[in-house]
Amino acid sequence: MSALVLLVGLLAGGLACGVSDAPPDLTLSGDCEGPYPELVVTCRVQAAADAGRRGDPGAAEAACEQVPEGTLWREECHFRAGESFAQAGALMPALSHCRRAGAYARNCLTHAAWNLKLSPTPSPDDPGAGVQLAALDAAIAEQLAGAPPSLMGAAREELISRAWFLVYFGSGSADPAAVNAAPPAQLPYARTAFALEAARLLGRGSRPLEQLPALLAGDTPAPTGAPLPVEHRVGRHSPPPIPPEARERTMVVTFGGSKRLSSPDADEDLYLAGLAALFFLDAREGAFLPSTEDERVLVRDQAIAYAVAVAREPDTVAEPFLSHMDPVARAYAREALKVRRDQDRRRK
Amino acid sequence: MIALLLALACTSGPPETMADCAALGDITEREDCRLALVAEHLDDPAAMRAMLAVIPTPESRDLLRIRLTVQDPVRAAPLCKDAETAPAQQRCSQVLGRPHLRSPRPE
Repeated sequence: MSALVLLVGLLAGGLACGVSDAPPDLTLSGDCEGPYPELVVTCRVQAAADAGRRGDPGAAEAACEQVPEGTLWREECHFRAGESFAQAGALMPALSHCRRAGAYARNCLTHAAWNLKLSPTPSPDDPGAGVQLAALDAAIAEQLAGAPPSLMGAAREELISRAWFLVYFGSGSADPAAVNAAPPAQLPYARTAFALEAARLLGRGSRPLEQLPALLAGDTPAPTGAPLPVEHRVGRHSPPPIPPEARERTMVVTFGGSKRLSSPDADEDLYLAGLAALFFLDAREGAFLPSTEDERVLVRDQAIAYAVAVAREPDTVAEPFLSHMDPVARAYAREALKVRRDQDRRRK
Repeated sequence: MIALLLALACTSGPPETMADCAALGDITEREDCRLALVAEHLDDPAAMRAMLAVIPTPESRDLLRIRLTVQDPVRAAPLCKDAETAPAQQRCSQVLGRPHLRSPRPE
């Protein structure tokens, strides 16, 4: 009798406490409501990204606002929304979200720059490109007003650099009209893009570094050729490192996060742009070695860095520069070689 | 006698084991209980996996994987690679596909 009572009691107890193994529901409805905050948060982040893709700023705003402020996921929400708007070609909402992406703001802006679309994209023979890109720069500055100066500076630089890349690279024309109409502050970026398309169109076996000044001045006909399909408008962008000894030198963003040295002297800056173009276009060390003896130190050092970075036998190429009489030249060779050795070790 | 057994079955101390959590009647309380216990072992992936293994349903195991990963992507994201259900795999991709979330945050 007592055993029966015990059994009934335990069964009743189990039922009374409602113990069951019903699994939780991992799906949430469209409004992202549910009992588990972690599912709710990821649902809202996804909703913000989807809204960005649709080009719906109100929905993206509403989704991110409901993610607790001051958390990693609030920043991620703005990051995802910023990326999605940029992919959809909506730059201003993208910047609005990126500036609120906290620790991820810089990455968000870089991704926005990669995805930048110009409407319309000026052609290289259009002198109005300068006006259009000056207006773009002003709009970026307005959208990012109040952002930390480092973020603002990096964003403007990356976006304007990318904008000039879109004007020239792959267009099929290295007409200098657009670069010659660039606002003064944008000239280094315009020169790099111009040099890139000129070097591409001139082709292998040409000497673009010597030809660029005459092309820019219009003294020789602008090279033309077949446009590149958009998906092929890519190149080498992982830059050789900047040695600590040269951190104070002026650098400008090139493509995909890379940087090059820049000079206030227009001719020297065009030459530096040409070196950056050859690097992007996968040139080998032979394209850079003659410039390593240039009397202009910026040209010499940039050429050393590129030559070592792309060399088939980096130790051999770096060897004479490692005993260069100028310690900064030595530093460029040393840092580029260090990175190459690391890369080669990882490949093995 | 039956009343006493009813009372005993429903009142116990704070849950200390996954079995204690499994005995909780309310589904949300049960899942919260599991989360609290496993979260104490964030630095020990083997221990976390062992605790997950005793949970009977894939949905509950996946819920726990997602919750831990969202709370601490740096330490718990590897658990998400084991997600078993489609909805969980979709949510886990929000972390696994975003390498910055799995690295300590830049200052």
